[in-house]
Amino acid sequence: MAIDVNAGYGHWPFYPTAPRSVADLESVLREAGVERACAYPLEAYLFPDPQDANERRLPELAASSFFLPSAVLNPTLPNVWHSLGICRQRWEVPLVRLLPSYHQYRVDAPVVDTLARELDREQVVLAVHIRAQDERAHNPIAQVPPVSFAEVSSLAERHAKLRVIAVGAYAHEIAQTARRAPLPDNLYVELSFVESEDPLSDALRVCAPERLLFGTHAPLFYPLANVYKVEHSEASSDAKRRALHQNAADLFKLM
Amino acid sequence: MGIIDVHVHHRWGGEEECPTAELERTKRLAQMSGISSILLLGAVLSIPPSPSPEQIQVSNSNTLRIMERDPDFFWGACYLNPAHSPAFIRSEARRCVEAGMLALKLWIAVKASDPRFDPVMEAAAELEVPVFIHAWYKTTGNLEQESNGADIAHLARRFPNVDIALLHLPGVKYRGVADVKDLPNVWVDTSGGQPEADIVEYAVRHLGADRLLYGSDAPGRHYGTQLGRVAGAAISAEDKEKILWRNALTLLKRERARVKPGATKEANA
Repeated sequence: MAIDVNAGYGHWPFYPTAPRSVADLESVLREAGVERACAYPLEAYLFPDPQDANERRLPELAASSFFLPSAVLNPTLPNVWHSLGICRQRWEVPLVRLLPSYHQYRVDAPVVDTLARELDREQVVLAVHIRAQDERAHNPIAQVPPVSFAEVSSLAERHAKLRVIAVGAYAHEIAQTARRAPLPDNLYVELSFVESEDPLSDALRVCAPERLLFGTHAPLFYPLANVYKVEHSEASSDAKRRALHQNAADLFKLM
Repeated sequence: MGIIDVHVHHRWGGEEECPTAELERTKRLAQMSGISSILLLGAVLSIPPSPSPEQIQVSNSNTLRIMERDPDFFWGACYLNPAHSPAFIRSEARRCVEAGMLALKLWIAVKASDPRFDPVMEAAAELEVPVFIHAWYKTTGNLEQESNGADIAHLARRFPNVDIALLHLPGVKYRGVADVKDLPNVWVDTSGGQPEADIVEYAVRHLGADRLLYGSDAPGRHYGTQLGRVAGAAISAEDKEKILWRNALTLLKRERARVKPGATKEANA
């Protein structure tokens, strides 16, 4: 069984996605073999203040024993501290997500470092989403460039005690950064956009087995695709178990 | 019957030794996803996008050698470049199909709406094989000679007697499905791109499951990830069976095709 660190809940404006409720999303994920999922509000991509999306979706997610709620914040907004406080107190989010391309700031902006320091202090995990879709498939009126994986790696280096997840990177982006220097030990790599003939084996060439995380990117992706990505690999069964389950269980202290 | 993957490439594009270990790995990975046969669409990753006649011949001869090693698992398509002379296109297509190849394959050398496609289509009609053509609608802009769904539809209207497989449903997406909806001679493969939800259900609703084919685009893509798009779609088990293998058998008329012993020696004489 798998722990999914990258599930979205809510309305996605660019193409139809099936799940209409938390129960629907849980059912779709369970059918694919997912036992727990860390989910965030999809409306946060485009709402002017992602906290509105958090407040719309996190109560339902937090009430479910299947989901771990995670908040999306925009560190350039003046209310970011207030939003973080609400998300921590009301829904006990163990993970905060940033969508820098959609919210139009850089990962090396000072406000990101300030937020990173606070998350480190509170022992909250930080996820940076590289992309939500293949850029070739974007709606032409909403073309959004990807975040630089190298900048996410640098962010992790600057905050060595903060646990950082890069969500949605391509295999070549990870490999290019890893060729220049080993990836920092506190950087985790989520696998939903990693593609090659054997993505897990290729990811293991540049990432430690303890730092790979399974993500479905559901409901934007068919969840079974990323389950097969890990299961149908020539990587060792230990590496598969770590990627599918153990690493996320350790990261979020799940029994 | 296992799954048939109609969209795989090999990397053996030159005169070097056969990459045996790589082919064995390809087979192991495919079988891990329940795939029992793959259709090789040429060494497009190892030779230029608009290959010379010599490069085409070497790539096709290598495909035939791979087929000869393991004919039940490795099936082949004849890779062509419409920029070449009609005489070369005809003779190369005939050489390959008579040696056991099941289809013709075109990539990004010439757009499908270009009249230079005519000799390819005429050869396909004469040899009674389908034509597999790459297509995409890229928001970031197609390559200069890269076909889109409308190019394929234009070609299909001009040659209604030839079956065409439009490659990359996730690339042409909703517009591509609409382009070919009313063209019964166009089939669509599910290969490539990220496994974005909904597109398979949309294609089944608008084209019907009888014209869809499972493909992966390995080794650039993973058999399993690409398979999950079909296996995880909210469609009937019967429709999945059609997409995963039944339709491929129908389109490729596999029962008549076998690699002929000695065909590759003759081809390279």
